Amino acid sequence: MDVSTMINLLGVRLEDPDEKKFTPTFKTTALNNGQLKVAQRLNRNYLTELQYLDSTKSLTSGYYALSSLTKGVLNGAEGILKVKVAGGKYCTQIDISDLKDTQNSYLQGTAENPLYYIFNSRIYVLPTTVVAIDVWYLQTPPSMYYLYDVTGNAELDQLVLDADSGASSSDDFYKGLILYSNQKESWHVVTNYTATTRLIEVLPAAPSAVFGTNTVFFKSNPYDGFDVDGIESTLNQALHENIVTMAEAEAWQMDRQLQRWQAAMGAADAEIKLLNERYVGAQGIGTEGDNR
Amino acid sequence: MTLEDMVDLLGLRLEDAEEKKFTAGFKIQALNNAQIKLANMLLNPYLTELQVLATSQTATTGVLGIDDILAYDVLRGSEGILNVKISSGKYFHKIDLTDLKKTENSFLAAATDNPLYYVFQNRLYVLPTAITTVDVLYLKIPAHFVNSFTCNEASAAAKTAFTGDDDQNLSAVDDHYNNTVVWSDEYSSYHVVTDYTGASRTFTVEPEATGNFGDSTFKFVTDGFEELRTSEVTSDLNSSLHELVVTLAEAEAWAMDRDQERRTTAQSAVLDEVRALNSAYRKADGIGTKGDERTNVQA
Repeated sequence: MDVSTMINLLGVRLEDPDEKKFTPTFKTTALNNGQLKVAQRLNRNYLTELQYLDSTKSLTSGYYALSSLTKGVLNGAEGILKVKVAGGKYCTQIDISDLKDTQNSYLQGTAENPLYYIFNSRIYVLPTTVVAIDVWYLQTPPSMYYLYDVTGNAELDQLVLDADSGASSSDDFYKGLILYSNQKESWHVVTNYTATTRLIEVLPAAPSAVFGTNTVFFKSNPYDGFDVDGIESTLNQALHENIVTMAEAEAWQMDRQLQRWQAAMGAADAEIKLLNERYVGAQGIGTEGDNR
Repeated sequence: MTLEDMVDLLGLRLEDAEEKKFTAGFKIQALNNAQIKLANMLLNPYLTELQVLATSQTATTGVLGIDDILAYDVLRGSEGILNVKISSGKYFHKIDLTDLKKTENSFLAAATDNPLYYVFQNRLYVLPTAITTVDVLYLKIPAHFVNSFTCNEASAAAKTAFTGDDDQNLSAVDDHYNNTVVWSDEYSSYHVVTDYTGASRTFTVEPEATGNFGDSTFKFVTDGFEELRTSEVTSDLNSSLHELVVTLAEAEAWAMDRDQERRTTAQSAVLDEVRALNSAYRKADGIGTKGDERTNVQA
């Protein structure tokens, strides 16, 4: 479900399709909060779209700061799924309470038995002679955007995204998507996007005068195969409605009808609870210590 | 139950048969959400209609991009991958990321005779990485409720024009679909209709397709035309689940009403039935002894 569909659905749910009480900006924020909450509460095995691998990250003084990772980490230390010595072995995670144990020569971190722990938003690796690691983690879901401020260009088939609108820094990022111009009240297909100038080229061109200063939104459909960050939630499609319900709960918090807040939150939570209940882990390999 | 039946039933449930409060577009969106949510919550054995086998998929240095390679979007991310098999070879064991460390043990390391896989970053990783071709069994997301219209090559083959089928009730009025967006299933691309000739049902579009339009299908995307021919659309899910889809959509519809009791009642009805179905499921006994049951077998 793309953001524009989410915004419209949320508007209807809030009995505010004309956006008198709940503005698009507020709804976009609520949706972003909603997808964050859904991601935080779900079993991580439903979040494969958020998994990210940063390879060969150099350690300084035996640690690597989480803030230096390419993406923000979901749930802090809990979002770190795996650490591996670059080109070497997987590290075993230990708790801070186990640090004393590493002073035992049989349990200490070595190249053959590397260890890691997380403290102060840093990944500490033992032995400290390890120079680089691969980090497997859950990223924070990328923000979604709805209305993009644009200015027209000299040509009928060009418009420029505002620098503060959350425009992508990748060429052709929006290519192939459909775009609705609120000024012209018309649909267009994006044929080219130049990131450095945030220039969008579209067809068909504006019918008469060039595009002016106004807003546009992008649209995507479940069958089109476009998975564009910012235009739709990164989470699995099956979770998109739950994001809307979570956003709905947040919206009702600013209304006197607290019953609706509770009903929405209850519905979202019930679904998440059921999903987490039904999860069955992979049987994996070898024997499990706990089952011995 | 066709989509039209579902929309009508939902209208009755919502005491809005004349569609004053709940439009057809909203109800179709709610039904779309509902069928995906229902599939998400049910155990896999109830979803055999969503199971897909993708054979001979190429792994590059042990990695397959799920979105790039599989024909359909996967339901539930890594949980939607049901099984993986070396093409004309052995089945893989699925491992969790937490088990990766174990693969460093020579007795548990992956081998062609003991292949392993895990899902990470929306990619399927196979071990050993020398394996190049695999079959993937997975659950697809139920198809979106929208009709695919048949289209044909225009009188003169073109990248900017195609004709609609005369049996599908397309409008005979010139310009009827002008400025509407359509999706070409043939070229997987969006186009805006710049002209429509009713007599020949010819669509002229921009931008041009990457090749001449041939005999294929297209979908309407905007202006409410995507709600046409709902009688031709059915849910991918088993027909025994269709009523449950309607009830879940009903819960969503009541969310926009002040009568929250009806929302929670509909939602509870669905969750109770899903729980009942999930708990009624009995896994096949299978073959061989199971670790957990060894004691019982010996006894």
